[in-house]
Amino acid sequence: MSGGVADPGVLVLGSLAGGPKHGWAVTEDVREAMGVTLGPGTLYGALARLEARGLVRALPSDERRKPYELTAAGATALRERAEAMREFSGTALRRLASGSSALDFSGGAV
Amino acid sequence: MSGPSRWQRLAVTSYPPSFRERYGDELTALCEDTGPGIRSTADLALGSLRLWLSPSYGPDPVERRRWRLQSTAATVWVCACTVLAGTAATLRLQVDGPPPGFDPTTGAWAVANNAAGAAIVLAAVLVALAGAWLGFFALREGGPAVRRVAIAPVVCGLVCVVAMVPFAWYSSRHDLIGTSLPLWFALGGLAWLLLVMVTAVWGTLAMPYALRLAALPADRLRPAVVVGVPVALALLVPATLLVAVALRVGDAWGSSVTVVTTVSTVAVAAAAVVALVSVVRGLKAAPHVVAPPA
Repeated sequence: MSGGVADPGVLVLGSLAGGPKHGWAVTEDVREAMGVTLGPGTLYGALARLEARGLVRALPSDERRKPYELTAAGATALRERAEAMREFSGTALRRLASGSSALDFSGGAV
Repeated sequence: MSGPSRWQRLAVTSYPPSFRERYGDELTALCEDTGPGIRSTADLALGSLRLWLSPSYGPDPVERRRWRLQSTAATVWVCACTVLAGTAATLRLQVDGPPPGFDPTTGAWAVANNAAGAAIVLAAVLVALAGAWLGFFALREGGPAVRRVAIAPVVCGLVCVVAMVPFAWYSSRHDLIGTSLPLWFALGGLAWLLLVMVTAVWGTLAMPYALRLAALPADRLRPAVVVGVPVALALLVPATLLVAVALRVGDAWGSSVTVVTTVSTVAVAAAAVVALVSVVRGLKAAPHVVAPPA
């Protein structure tokens, strides 16, 4: 998977990590957790790509609103992505902190 | 929840058929949940566009490749029909009555005209062969639904051929140039021309629909896609000629003819490019076709 945390695929995987959900529940969950509103086209485009790659699967249902769940491969992909993002954010925050110190020592000139 | 708007429903129907079959109901249900809105409608339209441009969906890779081949076969068929009909009509307008200072029968223009003519004949023959191949298997394996789709354009085509007889008979016995035509000939000719156009459009659109209904296996579609390569390359020749003639002649005929020829030239050029792009994408899927068990 490519893209950052705003990548719809990552957002959907992150939502399904909390348990199986259908489309509307994923949209609401992502909006509440991340403040991002996934449109219906974006959501189903992401779900279709994730399903094609075996990262999520549809659960059997007679309803039109099918629930989806994370597969083992999906959980692995999400964990790798989350760790990469944690590493990146840690590095970025450290650099920002050291950059701030440098600015303080130099008199705060911008 | 007020349900999806008309525009949202329209946007959902614009998705690729195989995507609609798999996710259409769920997408509509989600639109019912979210309710109407410009933002979600635009998101649906963009999602549809993305999937048409890059159909990387569907859980079954074999079915995905079959669908790609079917899309290419249908696209090349429609584009070839567009280029062949559009070129014939446009060249007739552009070349049969050239403006002063432009002689399409000499020099490089003559060579280009001959090359375009040869390319059109080659493309027409190959398209007819590929169409016969696909049509045969679609009729044999597609059941009554495909036969219902095919019967109307076939009957219209036969009527067109039979209806030519009285006109040919009259033309062989009378000099049509410089004399006033009888009313039945003028009105009948107009009706015949209209029927030919309807048949052409119907026949062009019937093939993709029949292919979709028949859902032929990939090994049936693959030969048509391979034949699509020389067809797509051949279509570029008349399209290039039309663009060159349009650039050379400009609006020397006057605005009304220029508008018609410009629109048809753009349509022909676009169809030729789309056919080439589609055939390249189809070829990528063609080597991976899994033959059915014997």
